Amino acid sequence: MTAGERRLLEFLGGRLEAMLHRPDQWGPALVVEQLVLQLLEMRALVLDPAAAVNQKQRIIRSFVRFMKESVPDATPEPLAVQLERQGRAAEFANILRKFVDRELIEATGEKLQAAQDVDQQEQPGDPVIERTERLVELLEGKVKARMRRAAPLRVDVVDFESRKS
Amino acid sequence: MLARLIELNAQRAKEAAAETLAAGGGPSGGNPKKGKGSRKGGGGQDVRALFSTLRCVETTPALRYPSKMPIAWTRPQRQRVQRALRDHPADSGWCEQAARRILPTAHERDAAAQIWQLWPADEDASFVIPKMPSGVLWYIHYTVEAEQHCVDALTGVDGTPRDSYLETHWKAPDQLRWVPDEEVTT
Repeated sequence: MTAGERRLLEFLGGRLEAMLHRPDQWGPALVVEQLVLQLLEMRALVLDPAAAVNQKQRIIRSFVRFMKESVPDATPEPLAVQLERQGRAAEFANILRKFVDRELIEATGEKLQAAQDVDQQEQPGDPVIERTERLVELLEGKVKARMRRAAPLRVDVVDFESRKS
Repeated sequence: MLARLIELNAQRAKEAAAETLAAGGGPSGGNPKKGKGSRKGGGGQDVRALFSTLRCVETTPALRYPSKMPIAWTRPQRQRVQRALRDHPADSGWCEQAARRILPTAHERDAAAQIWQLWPADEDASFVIPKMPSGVLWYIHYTVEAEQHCVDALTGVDGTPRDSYLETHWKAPDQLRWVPDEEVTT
């Protein structure tokens, strides 16, 4: 992963955290929902450059499935619209966060499984290993972002680089 | 102004009829849109040409059923479908529930009846947007196809011929994609 990609992943993680932490500051819920889905699309692209350039429909399909499981009487409407109608608008950020986390878990699970299946003799440059490394870095960034939010005054939270070696 | 429009329609109908005859006279070469105008311009035309033009309106190529006719539900079938649509109106967003309730009845009429999902064809778009009701946003839409018609809350119980369904009920109809329900596990 290049430094630029790493920065981009950090940026995406940070932006997702910010939107889910204080969605009101990013506009109406419907707008936030679209922004979050777009950030997820970008994250998927950075995590797996070999995948199809456009991941939107995969993510939306996954999102519709998620809504069916998470919202009673779910419809194919935006989550924000459904929760507003049901008088549950306050739950918007929490439910959306669950989807963001699930997307990552699903991606992580798939990639880690794929990495386990890789032959031991595969070279380090193998795309599966490469994707898995990207995911690990992303998870590190995510943890950093959450800890920064929880304890904003602490500067050096965790040194993941030294742990890795 | 009205007289001018009628005159124009009559002229177009005449041209359409002439084209159809020149192409072999059968309904399969007909353009339903052109034919539409011909209904107003019948007066004083050659009977054969008029008959040919009207057939263009009533049928489209290779259809098993006349496309402009509504689905011929029996009375109990019609009542069941109407009830499903009443319980799941368009603005409720429950198009999937409606489709799943209508499908068994649709199967009674057409063994090949199936549920379709409509997705944005362009992956850069997020929503499919119907003409009515206005202001709604759907990530996907579900409709039932039976006897070459689509039936859902947008079409009502009579259904809309599938070949004109997108244009009739959707904004940006060329930006929509049909996906068989069984292909997608949402």
